[in-house]
Amino acid sequence: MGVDGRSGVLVAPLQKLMDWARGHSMWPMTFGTACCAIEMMTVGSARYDTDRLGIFFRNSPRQADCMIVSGTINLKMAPRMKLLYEQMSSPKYVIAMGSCAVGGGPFAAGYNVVNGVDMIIPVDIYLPGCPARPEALLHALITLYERNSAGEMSAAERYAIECAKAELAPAVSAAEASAE
Amino acid sequence: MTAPATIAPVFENLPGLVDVGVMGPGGMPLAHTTRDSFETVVEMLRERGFAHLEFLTAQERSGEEPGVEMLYGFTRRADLTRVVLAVPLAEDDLEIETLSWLWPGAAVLEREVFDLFGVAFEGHPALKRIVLRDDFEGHPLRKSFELVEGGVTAEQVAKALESHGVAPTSLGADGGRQAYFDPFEHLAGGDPALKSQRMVINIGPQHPSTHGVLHVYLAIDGEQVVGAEPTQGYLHRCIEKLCETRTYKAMPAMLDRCDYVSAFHAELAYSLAMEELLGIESTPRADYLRVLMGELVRITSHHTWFAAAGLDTGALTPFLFAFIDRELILDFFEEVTGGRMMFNYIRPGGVKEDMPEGAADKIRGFLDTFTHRMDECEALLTGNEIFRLRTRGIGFLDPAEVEPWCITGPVARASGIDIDLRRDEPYAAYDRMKINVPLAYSGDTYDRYTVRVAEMREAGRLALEALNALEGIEGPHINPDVPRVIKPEAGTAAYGRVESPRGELGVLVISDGTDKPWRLKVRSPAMSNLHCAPVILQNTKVGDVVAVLGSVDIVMGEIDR
Amino acid sequence: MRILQILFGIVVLIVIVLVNTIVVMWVERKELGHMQGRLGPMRTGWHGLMQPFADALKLLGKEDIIPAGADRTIFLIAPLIAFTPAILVYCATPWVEQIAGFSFDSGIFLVFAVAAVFPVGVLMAGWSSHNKYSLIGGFRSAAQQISYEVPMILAVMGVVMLAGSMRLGTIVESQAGLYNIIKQPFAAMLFFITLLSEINRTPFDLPEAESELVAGFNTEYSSMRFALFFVAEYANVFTMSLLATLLFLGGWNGPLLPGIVWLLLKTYAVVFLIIWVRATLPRVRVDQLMAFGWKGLLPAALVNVLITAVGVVTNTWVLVALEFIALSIFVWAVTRLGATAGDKRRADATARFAKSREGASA
Repeated sequence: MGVDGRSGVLVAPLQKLMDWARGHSMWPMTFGTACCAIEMMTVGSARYDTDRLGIFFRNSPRQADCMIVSGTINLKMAPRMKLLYEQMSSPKYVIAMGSCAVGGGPFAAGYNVVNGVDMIIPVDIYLPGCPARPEALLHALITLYERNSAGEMSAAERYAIECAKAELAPAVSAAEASAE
Repeated sequence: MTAPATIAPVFENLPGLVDVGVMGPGGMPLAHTTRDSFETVVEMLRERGFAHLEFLTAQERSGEEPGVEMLYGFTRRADLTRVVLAVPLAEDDLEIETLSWLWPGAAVLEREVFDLFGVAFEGHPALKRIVLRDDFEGHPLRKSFELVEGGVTAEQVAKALESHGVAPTSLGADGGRQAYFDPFEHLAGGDPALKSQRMVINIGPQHPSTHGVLHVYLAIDGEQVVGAEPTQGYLHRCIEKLCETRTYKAMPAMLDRCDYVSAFHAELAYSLAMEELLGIESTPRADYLRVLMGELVRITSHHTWFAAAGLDTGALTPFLFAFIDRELILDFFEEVTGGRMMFNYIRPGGVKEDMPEGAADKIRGFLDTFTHRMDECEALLTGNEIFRLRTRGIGFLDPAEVEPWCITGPVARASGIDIDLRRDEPYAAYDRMKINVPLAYSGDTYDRYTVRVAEMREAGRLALEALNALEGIEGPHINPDVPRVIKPEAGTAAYGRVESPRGELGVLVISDGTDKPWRLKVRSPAMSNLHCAPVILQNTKVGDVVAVLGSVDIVMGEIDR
Repeated sequence: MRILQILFGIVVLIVIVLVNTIVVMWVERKELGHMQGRLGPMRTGWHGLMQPFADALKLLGKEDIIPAGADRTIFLIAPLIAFTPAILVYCATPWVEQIAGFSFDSGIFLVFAVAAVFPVGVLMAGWSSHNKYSLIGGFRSAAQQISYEVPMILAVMGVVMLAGSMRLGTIVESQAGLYNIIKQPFAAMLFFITLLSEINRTPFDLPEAESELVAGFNTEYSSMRFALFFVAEYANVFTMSLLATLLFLGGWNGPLLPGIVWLLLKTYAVVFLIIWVRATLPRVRVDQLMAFGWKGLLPAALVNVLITAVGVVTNTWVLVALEFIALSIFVWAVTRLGATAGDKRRADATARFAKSREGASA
């Protein structure tokens, strides 16, 4: 979805409809690594029930809209996470859940923990907490929806624009290339 | 705890012992030996009944000579004697004979030591890094490896990404692919009669049912599993190294994050070790509070496993049912400790604070209905024909394999090995309680299931017993004698162990006289249990793999640390 | 005029199928939710009624990815091949008679012939995705559908023998007095089990076994191509429920209410049952699935044909009695199979392990 599509007489209502659809059907990918993953599981359980909001976990990155990085990412895991992020189809969003994903958390001083997943992928929502509570994760998901409705760009889009400005052209995906 | 008087017969007539003593105020027998006589000593100890390899680790030598000291903890199950064998290695010759021919389970522990300390093991079947990246430089648990200010640098991350062919700036589809790695080249390929081919699939590190970030190389021929090799390290968070930079009082917060589904147990093991080291005791009230919280967290931990057991076999509803109950218990934790999962509650000398007003009644109210709630959960799986088809007679673990693979906990008990630290070596208030240890005798997936479910019910009963006992006990919740700054005597060490939901969880603390530990080692029960995968995955199908591995109950945080 | 009528019929049919598919999706999420102590979708329209629309729209707007190593042509057409039969099947339903004015005398034949195309699409998807999980999922699907089609058709044979026709309309009319589920409970049971397998539902959802194969055959599909699989799956749920209604539950027969209401009520009762099964049961393993299909269902279906033949030459009540006896035996056998699963291996192991424990303690 291009950035330009948000203006224009004909496209704007359609864009609004798409934003509504996206907000109400946010399928996160189950990307649990550590303690926060347990809280991410909890958010799907009966008490919090993300299904109410149309949020429903998909296992395959291809079919997911948003990646909840729930837990510590270390040097060994980092390439795998990047790979999974790239396999997601855009528009895609990232929630960095928990202190570890936000900035390394209690392990930031260590020799193996990536100090924040924004070193690797563009992050939309930073959700602190060790581990972040399920209510907080719900709030993050709702915030993502509100931002979407307000027509804000995703972090990936912003990143692409920044790259273009800096003439760093992000590698175009195979699919985009084939579509052109 | 073994009294010093019993040390002599344990080490009697062993050749090549340099000196014999105790490790610390706890009185665990410790013997130093040399590399030359090491193998003979171990074999003789094993003949004397020390067949359980409790831990295998190393520490930096603190003396003038640089080098690494290997530490081996052995247990004799018959009379629960524990000994520690220390083998100093010189800096220029960091090599020692492997124990993997006596204990196949020692192989991964040795790989860990190789990875973190750089000690080479002669005769090891596959000595390569296990927790860190293959291209990692240095051995982090050596004192010469200093932590860099600010942690991991952007260059390191970029290098890691590039080594997998993932462009750091790309956002798009597909990216690079990992090189095809086949750890099963020694296996014959496929079935000649059917002309089938062997295929290697990577389950994990990110897979819906790897319970975190476990990675299993799986060689399959059609749907038949012909080889399995678990790898780990995707959640290595430098906990042991970071513990060396923190004061003793800050430690429980770090250890909480080891075993994040049953955080109380790591705290408790550490507190027991520290109490031994400092020669203080916890108060009677704290003892029962520890039991109460420990048993409640055992229930929640098993709830998580129960949920996963359902999901692994394809049933959705057990997850939802188990988590309804789990949430109720987490509410109590929140009320008592302030946290849902990370408690920082049990500390040397007692617990952080007493239960608030009214909490006991709420917990009692829940425990009274607990049996009924368990019945409801169990109704979904236990008698279900398909669940029985999926779990019965699959994933056998021979009790003869338990000791060689260093397996403990419910996995061992499902094979009929009657061990439970709560009953055998009671800690906290367990010596004042009657503990029934559920056992099963076929050692298959279903037995591991029934043992855990029985343990949940038993834990509910014990929690209720502890709650009742708490009513009659007044007094402080923490020993007032705990020093403000904890500085154990230099050169002393203690090993605290508890029965965690996954098995024997131990914390080895070695002091150098400062307010920070010289070495802190966590014995991970799940790690040993997990690496018996090649044994329990024999004669299984692809569909069984996740169900069988799930029955081991894996928590990657504790395995990788 | 005729062509116009047929075209109109096609459009109406597609709309009917899609609307019902959407309803089935909604029913599934709500029902699963309530059975699991949750609510299911609540915020998208009234009680989440708009949820499937939001999902479909969102999937439309997603990036369409074709994996680098994929076999492009096959990858692109696989979802279409899987989706088409889901709609094509409706040619044989009695609705067509009312809307488009033609009917097939061998309707059941057509239904099974067309439905058999679905696994081809799945297999193509699995093969072309360049993904091991997809491949395993695709092969599982092919093996499963072929194995379960045989007992399914045999179970329907009984119904055909009773009605004396393969036309679905005639079959429904023949049930005006007594529904086939009373006359043929055993066949109905067999049909329901095979139906679950044909549409890849729990406990036979092996081709997309989430805990084993990530998302199975459609792991690599994104965007609209994934939506086609998704819709096809739920359309199949509705189709098969409709078929079960027509074959066993008396179709539109029923007192007071108009026929179409009865038809939909019964169909959604079957849908409800299918989802109920999903909320309750774990998944079988692939070899158990095969063994159950070939060693259990196939002989049982043959027995059913035999019983029906006896019933046809004697009278209805003999048939009902025999069917109930067969059903009881079948249910008993399946229960027993579950209760004693692995008993022999476990007993062997226990004996062997007792020895090794003794050895260890000695």
